[in-house]
Amino acid sequence: MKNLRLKSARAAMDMSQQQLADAVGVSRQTINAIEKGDYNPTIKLCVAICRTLGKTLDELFWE
Amino acid sequence: MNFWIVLMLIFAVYLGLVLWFCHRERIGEPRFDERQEQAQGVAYKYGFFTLAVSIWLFTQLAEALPWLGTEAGGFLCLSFGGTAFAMTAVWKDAYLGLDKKPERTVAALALGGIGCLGLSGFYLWKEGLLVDGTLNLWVVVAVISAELLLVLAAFLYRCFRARREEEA
Repeated sequence: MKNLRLKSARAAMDMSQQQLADAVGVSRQTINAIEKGDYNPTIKLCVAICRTLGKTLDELFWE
Repeated sequence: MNFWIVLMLIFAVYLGLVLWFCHRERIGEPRFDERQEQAQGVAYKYGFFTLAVSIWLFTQLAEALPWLGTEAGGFLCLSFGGTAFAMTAVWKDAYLGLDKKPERTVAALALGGIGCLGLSGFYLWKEGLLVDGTLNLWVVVAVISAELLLVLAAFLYRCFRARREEEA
């Protein structure tokens, strides 16, 4: 399932996938895979993404 | 000077060049993220099972194909397993560390693959597919070179697709 909330949160911060990937220490393809719903990140990565985007886990990853 | 000695010298220089590119592009210092490590696990699984199935098939077909030969069959099984691993790793973007851009290494490997394919084609044309009733080892070189070029083609395709994926 696509993670559109992550995509819009990233867009709201005016960040590209590469910039977000560099900020959390993963590859751009990993961010792309998370947004497309092709990969479920670990809680550690979810927390890192939330910290970078200034959002909570519920806001970005709760279904 | 003997042709084979010249060929080995050229191969030694080529290998040194590839290793130098790997060192310059820091291929040997990988840093992978969690998705890449998971994908590598899948790639190792596919590679292992392809190798196991190839070896099993080879043992089953050994009597029906006596010309295949143990050496050629063994190398072919290894190459199939390696190709399955490489293709899976490339397809799932698990092949590179986070900060790698190995253009020179890839270019050198492509040139090597094309060179080996050309050389094996020449020797197969000269000696034929079978030598003393068993498969000419240049067939194995040709197959491995073709597999290498296939993996590199998949790598280039993924690079091309990655550029379009960014903001799709």
